[in-house]
Amino acid sequence: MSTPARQLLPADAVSRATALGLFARRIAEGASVGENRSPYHGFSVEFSQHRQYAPGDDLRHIDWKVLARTDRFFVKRYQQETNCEVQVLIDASASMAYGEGDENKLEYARRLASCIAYVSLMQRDSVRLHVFDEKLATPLPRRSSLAGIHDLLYMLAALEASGGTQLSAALAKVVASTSRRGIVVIISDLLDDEDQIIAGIRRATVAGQEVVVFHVMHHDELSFDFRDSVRFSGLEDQVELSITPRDVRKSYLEALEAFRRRVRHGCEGAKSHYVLFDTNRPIAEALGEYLMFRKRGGMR
Amino acid sequence: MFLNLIMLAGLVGVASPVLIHWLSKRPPRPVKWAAIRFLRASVEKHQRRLRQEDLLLLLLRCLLIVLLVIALARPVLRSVGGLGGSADVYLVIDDSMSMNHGTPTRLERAREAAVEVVGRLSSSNRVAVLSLTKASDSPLPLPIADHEAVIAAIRAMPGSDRRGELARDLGEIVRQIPTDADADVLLLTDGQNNAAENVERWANLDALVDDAGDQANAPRGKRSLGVILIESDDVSNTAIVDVKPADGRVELDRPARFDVRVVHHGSEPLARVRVRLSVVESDDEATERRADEAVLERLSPGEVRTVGLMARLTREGPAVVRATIDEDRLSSDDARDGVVMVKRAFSVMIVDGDPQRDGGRGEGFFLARALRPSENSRGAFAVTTVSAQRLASSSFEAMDAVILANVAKLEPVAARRLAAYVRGGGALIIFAGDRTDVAFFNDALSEELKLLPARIGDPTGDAMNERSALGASLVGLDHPIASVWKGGGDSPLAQLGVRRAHVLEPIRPKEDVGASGSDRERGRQDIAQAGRAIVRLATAGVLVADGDVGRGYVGMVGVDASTGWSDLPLRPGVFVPLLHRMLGAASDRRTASVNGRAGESMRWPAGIDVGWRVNLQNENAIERERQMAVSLPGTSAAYARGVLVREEEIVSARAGAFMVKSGDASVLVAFASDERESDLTQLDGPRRRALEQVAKVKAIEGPGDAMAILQTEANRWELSLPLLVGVLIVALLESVFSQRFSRSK
Repeated sequence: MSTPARQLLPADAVSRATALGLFARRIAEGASVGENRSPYHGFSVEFSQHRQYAPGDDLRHIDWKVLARTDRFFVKRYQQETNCEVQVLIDASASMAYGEGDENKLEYARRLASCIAYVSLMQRDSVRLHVFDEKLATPLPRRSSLAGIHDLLYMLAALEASGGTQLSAALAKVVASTSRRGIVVIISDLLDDEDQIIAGIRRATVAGQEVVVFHVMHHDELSFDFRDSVRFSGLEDQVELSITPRDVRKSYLEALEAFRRRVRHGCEGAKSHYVLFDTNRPIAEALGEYLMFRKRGGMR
Repeated sequence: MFLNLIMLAGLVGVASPVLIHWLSKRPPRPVKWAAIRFLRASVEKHQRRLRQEDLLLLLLRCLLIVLLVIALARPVLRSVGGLGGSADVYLVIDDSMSMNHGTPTRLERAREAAVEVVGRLSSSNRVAVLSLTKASDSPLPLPIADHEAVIAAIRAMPGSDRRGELARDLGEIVRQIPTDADADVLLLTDGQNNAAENVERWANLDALVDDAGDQANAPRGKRSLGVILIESDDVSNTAIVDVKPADGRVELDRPARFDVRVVHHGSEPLARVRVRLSVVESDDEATERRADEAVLERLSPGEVRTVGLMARLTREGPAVVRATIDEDRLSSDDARDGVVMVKRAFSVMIVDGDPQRDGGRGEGFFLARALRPSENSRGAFAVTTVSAQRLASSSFEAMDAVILANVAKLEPVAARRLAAYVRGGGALIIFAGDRTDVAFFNDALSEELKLLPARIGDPTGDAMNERSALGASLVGLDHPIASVWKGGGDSPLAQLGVRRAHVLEPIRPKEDVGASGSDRERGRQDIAQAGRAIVRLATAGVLVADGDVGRGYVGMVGVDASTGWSDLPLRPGVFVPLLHRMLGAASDRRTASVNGRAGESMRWPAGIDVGWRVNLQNENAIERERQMAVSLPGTSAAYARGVLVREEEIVSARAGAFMVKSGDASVLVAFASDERESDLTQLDGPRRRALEQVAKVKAIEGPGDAMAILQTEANRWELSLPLLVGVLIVALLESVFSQRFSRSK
């Protein structure tokens, strides 16, 4: 039930996200001039700091106004704006198959990934798309221009949910595969061992990556509002449970909330963002809200 | 106990929560689920709690239904002491004669009602079955827990012809109940109105004991009284209430008149009532012989009619006279037996205290002429005249009567023999005259030997003065002797001229101190002195008196039998009837000792040696259509079907005549019912209301009605309301828990 590639970019979401942009909260190391701040100070319009003049410095950069006031030579330094590498990890495990139509978790994740990729390419950042389940699939080569969006969309459109989830292993491989600092966006239902997930995020952060976790959950999973008795069978586990959902709803929700709380705290500990996406909420609204939050400083 | 037992069928509704659960259980909907790890953890963690919650909810819902059903069934909790509660139940069944009325009889209906009641009592209730009229003859005097045995005892309980007096009989029963035991007394009776005097008092069980002055035995346990009234619409009844010789004596081969008293109780007059008289004379080959018959054309409601029927008895000795009417719905009183003594002549010994007076025409002369007008005629009396001095040497014990005519005093031996003779059933008539030693009569005969029914006063009046007439008038008009002069001013008695007389002072009967009914009866028979005035002098005091002494009779006249003090011997209209009636009363007294009341003790007739060989025979001729009464001697329930013979007394529950034999000696006795039992009128309005103030009363007309006495028991708590409150509480709990557990109802 894959969606045609051209429908993976909802217009309202794209326009709103593009307006807000996805900027690295950390300093990114880009190969070309972009909209992200670069650790390389050079000649630009964005003033960074003063430095005492040393022989050999270009005289054009001496701040004459400071010389006039202090009679000392200082050189103006500028922050270079650079492009950033955005790594998108999308979960295609069997558990992502839950839900119907637009509320299908994998479908939602596709659209989310498409939007992130499009916005990143629009601001001249490079994008790499990684698909994982129990293992990490061979990624699509990095795309740095908007023309590459089609490849990304086709790849996303072709995804099928299957297999288990090994997020931490996939994340470790992604981080190891790049030498540049950038943004790692994880789009997953996180149905994996939360300790390993948190450990993986920490390692990525230490490696200089900014990790953003998009936790995609279906509304049923968040509300567990079933009537009558239901025989639940696991999408990833060979388990069957015949129960009356009302009987366990409370404890289920408590367990889920506890899980989310641990993951969120783990992300916060790693200076990462954890964002919950309910699949019955429009992507434009949910993603726009996050990007706005991020633009305002990303501090909670 | 439940008032709406059928509602308990709703208890099957307890299955409804389970059924609802099963019926509403659909096949689970399959769902492929991603986050099953949270689900599994929840289920594993809460499985046990869920089961406990489910069980709790199921129990609450089942309890809800059970409580609701029980509440609708209206359970009642009887208080301790309430009928059929934790107390012992004393079923008192009225077995008086009136209970034999109807078909089925009232007694049979009472027995069935009693069986119904026992069937509804808790198995923990001990039950006693008591006879109202004779507590000592009760089938089960002590409560037992074996209800089967109780029912068997109820069904086997015989009827009787005894008299029931509710106050006396219930008091007797209540006194038998252990004082510290809780007791429910349930009386099954026809509520005969004249057996229920002072109903408002006797229904208060505690007061019955208090009335007896038995404060030490005042009950400490709780007592309650329930009364089941066996009602019938038809209470009309015609009965023979008496049959006896008109003047007390029956002479051989002479027509004797018998007074048969017939009473009609009812609301409608009765036409053509046939009254028959028959006699049975032989004790060996007894045959009933029809003697006379009369037809009463009309008997009004409440009317009492005395019918004179003639019979000639041809054998000397005891005989049975039987009066009958056509049987009605109460057959017990449609026939009545009486034992009479048939004699060729009544032997009378005249003891003349002054034989020489008036040349031999003194006391003895007038008395002998009054009894036997002509020497040659065959009279009713065989007269022997002796002097006072020869009395001691004469065998007066064989006489029917001894007359002391103006006797001064007796020798001590003669006096003692005379006292024993009277107590054994003899008759003594005393004419007190100028020779009479007042001190001797008062001290020796009255005080010492308790022989006289009246003290003799000093003479008053002037014997020589014709004008000093003391005058005579009647007192005690209901006295059988006085009835002959019921003529007012025209009565010969008014013409009697008494110039001088001993004024008699009848001795008042002593207070009856007997505690129990049987003691009371015995006490009545043992009364030594109780005088009744018959004739009173207009200006002085009592002239003629009599009384029963032991089994005998003593008559006393305050003047002598000569013309010295009065003209009594010269007035045949007074003297002869007085003498004859006194001798008749003596004869009555003698036959009274063999004519008793059903249920009351009869003293064993004198001269019969009663041992363990006593054999009671019931001749077919005498008891042709009645239940054969056979008895064994003994003192502890060793009797069968009604007649009890002890060493000193005979008791019969049934009316009728019986032959009692002891060796060669035999005696014919008859028992009769009390005439008050024949009036079947049931409790009137005021008495019924008074009874309802102090007891639970239920009138029953058909089977099943008796249950109401249990169901309308006032000392009970209906638990419906508390149970409904319980239902609300359980429903509230169920709602709270199901909400808390997130379970649907």
